[in-house]
Amino acid sequence: MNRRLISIGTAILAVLLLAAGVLVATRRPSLRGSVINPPAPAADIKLTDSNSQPFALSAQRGKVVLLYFGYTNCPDECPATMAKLKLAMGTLGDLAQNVQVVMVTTDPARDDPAQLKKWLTGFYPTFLGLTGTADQLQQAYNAYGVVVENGGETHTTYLYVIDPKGNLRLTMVGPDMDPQDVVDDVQTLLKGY
Amino acid sequence: MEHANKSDVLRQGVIVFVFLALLTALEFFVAVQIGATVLLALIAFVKVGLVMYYYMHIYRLNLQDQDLDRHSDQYKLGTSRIGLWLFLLSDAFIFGGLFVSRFNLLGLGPLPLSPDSQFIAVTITSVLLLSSFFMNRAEVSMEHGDRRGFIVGISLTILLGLAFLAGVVVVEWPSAISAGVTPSSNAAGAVFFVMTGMHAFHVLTGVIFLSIVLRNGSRGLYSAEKHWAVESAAVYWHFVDVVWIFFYPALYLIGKLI
Repeated sequence: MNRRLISIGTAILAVLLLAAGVLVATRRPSLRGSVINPPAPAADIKLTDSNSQPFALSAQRGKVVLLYFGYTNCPDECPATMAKLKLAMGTLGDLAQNVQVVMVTTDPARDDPAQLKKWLTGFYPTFLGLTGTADQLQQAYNAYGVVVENGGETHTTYLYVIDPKGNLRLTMVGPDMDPQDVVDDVQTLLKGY
Repeated sequence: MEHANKSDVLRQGVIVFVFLALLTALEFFVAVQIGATVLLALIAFVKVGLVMYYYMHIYRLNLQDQDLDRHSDQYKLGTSRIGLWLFLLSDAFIFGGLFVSRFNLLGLGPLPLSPDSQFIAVTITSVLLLSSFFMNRAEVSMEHGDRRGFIVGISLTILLGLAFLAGVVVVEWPSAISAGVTPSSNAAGAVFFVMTGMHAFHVLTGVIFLSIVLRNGSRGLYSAEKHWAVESAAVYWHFVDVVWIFFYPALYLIGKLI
């Protein structure tokens, strides 16, 4: 009676171990931010960057783009977000060159390319600001659900994360997020996940 | 199975315990490395199956008693067993309701418990499984007329049961409270305290039940032929273990993927 118990028990245990083994082998990384599933192609943005050059989101293939909507006179949320992104870029080290942080201004009246460049490069040299005509900017705001109020304020503090294939993969709340989560997700996306 | 010799049955109890221990280790591994809730559920069902068949001998409900005299001990034993299992079924509804509430309120997400809590939980889970092992030993001893084996087994069960209680009330609860998880903090806190509290209460009543059975047993009130109190206390105790087999992963292991 015990021999039968041992054989059946071992068989069941073996099946469970096999299942566990298969699941370990086929593990896929998980993303920390709010995942957009299935990935949706990120709406293109064509604006002028803080170097006064034309910028197209669709031309950023091969890099992870961290897209934010803010303004340089923002008292707290935008600097907080940029500070966290600066920390993340530092942690990423060599991988940082494959990451493009972009901030679309919500206050084009005060944020010209020079002002954007001065404010953003103060955080990290490769951070880019984007501005344009009212129509161009409104198109970008609409595409990402950003509502802009007077003076540049918005209620959107999302960081939109776009993968190297141009798909919008996840969002994080800029001022609240953990820079390590940004690092982890950027690394995961750069691996092609 | 009644006619197997004592050492065979005792050995069976050991084999079952070894499988339970291995399954618990696998369950922990699956939780932290894979996070597959379905696999956790499967493992829990296998553990419960082992306990219900080999320790609670649920198959005894199916014994032939049609020809028996309704006044015979055998017959009364049969109806007593049905009564006990019906009671356990009703108790299962309470625990089942709490179990479902956990998922209704918190989905498949984890409870906000600290790593200390994880360590405490795996320790008390092992203590409770070990207590079921000794309870089985005690019951098997009594079935074969070994009063000393019965006394040693049931005493160890009581001690381990008390250790589980201390682990929950004196170690785990204060640890959870200092991590901000309190009965009134939020849904997660409420779920945690009601589930562990209701279960701990059953462990306490189980310990009281076992203590009475130990006292009576030491005075020679039970024999190999007549020991329903021992059987019912054992089955109740294993039931409490079965509840924890479901509650432990539900509270501590789901969503714990690292």
